Amino acid sequence: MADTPASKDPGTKEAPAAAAKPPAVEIKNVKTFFPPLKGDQPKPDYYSIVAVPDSDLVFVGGDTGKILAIDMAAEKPTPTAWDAHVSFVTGLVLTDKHLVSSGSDHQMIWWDRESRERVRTIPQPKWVRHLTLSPDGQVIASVCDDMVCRLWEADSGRPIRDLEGHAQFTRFHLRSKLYAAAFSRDGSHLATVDYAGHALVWETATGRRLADVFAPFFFYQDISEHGYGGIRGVDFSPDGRLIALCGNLCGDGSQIQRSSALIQVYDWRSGKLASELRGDNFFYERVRFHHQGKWLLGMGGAGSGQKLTLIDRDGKSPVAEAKPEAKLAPMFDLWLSENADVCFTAGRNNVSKWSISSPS
Amino acid sequence: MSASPASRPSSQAHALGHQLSRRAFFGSAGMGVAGLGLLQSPAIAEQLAKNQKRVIMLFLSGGMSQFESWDPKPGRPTGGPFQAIQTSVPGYHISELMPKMAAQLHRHTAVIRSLESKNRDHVDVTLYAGMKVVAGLNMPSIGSMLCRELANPELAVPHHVMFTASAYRGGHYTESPGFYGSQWGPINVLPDHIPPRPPFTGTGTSVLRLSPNSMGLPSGMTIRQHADREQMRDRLSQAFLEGRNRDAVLMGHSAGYSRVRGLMDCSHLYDIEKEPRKIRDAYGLTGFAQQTLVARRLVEAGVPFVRVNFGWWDTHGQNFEAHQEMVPELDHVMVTLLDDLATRGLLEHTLVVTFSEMGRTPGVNGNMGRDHFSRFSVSLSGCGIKPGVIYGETDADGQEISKDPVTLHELFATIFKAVGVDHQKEYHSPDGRPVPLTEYGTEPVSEVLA
Repeated sequence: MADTPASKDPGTKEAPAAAAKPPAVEIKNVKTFFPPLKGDQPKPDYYSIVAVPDSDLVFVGGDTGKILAIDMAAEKPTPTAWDAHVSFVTGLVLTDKHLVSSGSDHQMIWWDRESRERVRTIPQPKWVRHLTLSPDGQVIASVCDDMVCRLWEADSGRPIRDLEGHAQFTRFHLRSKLYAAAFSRDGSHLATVDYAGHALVWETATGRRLADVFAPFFFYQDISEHGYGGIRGVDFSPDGRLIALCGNLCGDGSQIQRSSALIQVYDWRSGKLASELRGDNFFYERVRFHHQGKWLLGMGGAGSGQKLTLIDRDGKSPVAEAKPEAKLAPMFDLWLSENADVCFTAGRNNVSKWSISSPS
Repeated sequence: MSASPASRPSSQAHALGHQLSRRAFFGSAGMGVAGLGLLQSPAIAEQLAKNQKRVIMLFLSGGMSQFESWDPKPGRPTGGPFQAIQTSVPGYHISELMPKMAAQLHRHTAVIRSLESKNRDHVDVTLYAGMKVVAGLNMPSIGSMLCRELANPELAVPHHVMFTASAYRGGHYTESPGFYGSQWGPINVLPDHIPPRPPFTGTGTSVLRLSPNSMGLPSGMTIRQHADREQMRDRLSQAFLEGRNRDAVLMGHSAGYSRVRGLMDCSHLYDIEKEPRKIRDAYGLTGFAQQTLVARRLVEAGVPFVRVNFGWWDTHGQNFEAHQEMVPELDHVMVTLLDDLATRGLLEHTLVVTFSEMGRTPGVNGNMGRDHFSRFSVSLSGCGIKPGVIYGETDADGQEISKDPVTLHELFATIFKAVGVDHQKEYHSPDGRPVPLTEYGTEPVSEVLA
């Protein structure tokens, strides 16, 4: 958060009261849409969301294997849905020409953005957990449970290179997972995060690994020598110097109790922890930096933390938060606009639009 | 109590059993520890051990999800993220998390997908669901019942051993012998060390115990000292027994010492360092893997019932993540165990059961978990089982049993039948009431039996 009294020049004289009050930062739920259910159909979970910039058109995908196109500006949205994957739709990105989806069915699919017809399907070795698009829109990074991050030409689907370096196994001899990836604002770097608490930073142009940041508090060993946790989301600071990691600290693997939601910010070159924020019994599933570094946005997912939290620029204290309209509705993914004034979230049978006002 | 007639080894082994009767066994005890009964003749002991029926139960403490294992529903609202893969049994698919079992399901294994219990909680009732509950009577667990039927009293090995890698929430469900008496209770092998609870950085590792407490010599005593003491006790005992060797009480007392000494002699069975490196590597480095390897060593030596608890599967949160980690471990260890037993010629005499106290719900909760459910699946491999049989079905979403429901009584009757035990065999409570192994009228699932 900008311009708190503590950040002012101590020599500056302030008018009492009004000047001491920090400018407001606020996050508000603008609209929540509950896609209609058929009969006694269980409430679907939507795990991925992407929006068309400067519009209210969003695409969401989830456990039904369908992708839904929803115009959130409509008074009563009527989604267009189509069958996309056999099971969970885990990632969505929009390129100039295509909507690209990934699934737990070991597939990446390119769809024509306008006609929504399937353009190509590229089989993957295992569950693809997440997709992210480079800032120039030319490269898609996919992360897969075979612990490989793959770079693809965004529109042609041609493979560029594989980034291999995450350990296949955790230190308890069981298989690890690769959860998420993020490009730096200038696209020069890519960060990938895994289950065992490692964040690797790569040089996008060459595929060279530049850093391996170990954040041990995200990965926990229970009494049965089984793991729990993982780094679930990652983002670069605007200047590319820091990476924010999110997840959960040392919880009870079966209940998400006696745990803490966790966001940590690291200087990835030195591997030093810069800041930390802990929450209640939930996972922070996503984290985003404000494009000018005014705040961090954390999205609470599974557990009791179904809320969006804005965190001060130091990454240590919440300054605003908002909860979804739906009760007991975990959120799984978010899309944040380029100038950070709008975000959309996808969760359990709901898609929500949020407005964010930040001090200038 | 010896094995029931149905469960007795037949032919040569049976004849050997007669030659080496309990009387002969006890009679030989007076010859000293080294001359103890069958242990005098390793070849005979080995033969008896080989043909004896036994059971290894891989108990999935906390309740494994049937959706992420034996009964997947891909593409359904309840199905979860994982795909189903074709098994070696035509038309039967299991979770992609079990590729090794999928490839060899036809060889040794039958699956019951329609098990229905009245229980859906973390209680041990599923282990006690064999006998009809009799008011005021402590009932024996399935392990105690099986070891009583299958134990060969002439082998100086434990009857009943239970391992757990998890002390978490008491998830090991201790078995009780009930009115059978303590001799049929398990030797419990519990974790040696419980890692600290949060905050925990994961830099340490828990130390799993592979052998029971007190198997070794008392602190400060050398093997030589112990042998000297034993020799002295034996000499005194022999002198005392001169002219009294028809006294059953005295002979029993001496035999008791011998049995304890025999159990101590079993300590090597818990030492996986005695296994070739190749075998240890094949099982793997996890606690569950190592305990399962010890289980194999124990049954090979004639221990009739070993339960290895593997958990904790109570995935009210992060169900898919936990199963993605744990099911492949079960898959790997189970296939390694079956292959190992088969290679040694032990699988035809050993029944391997995977079992839980319950299943998990079709619906997924707000913690991305599945809750408790009373319908689930069980697998039976090896001794007495018709491989490749898939019995029972659930509906498209796994909500209801749609074909051939199986009760716990019927499952237990099937287990008894598979290892040659009359499931209607009666015992009597201390006040004389007849108590059958399974409720009167219970029938085994004959379709899965060889």
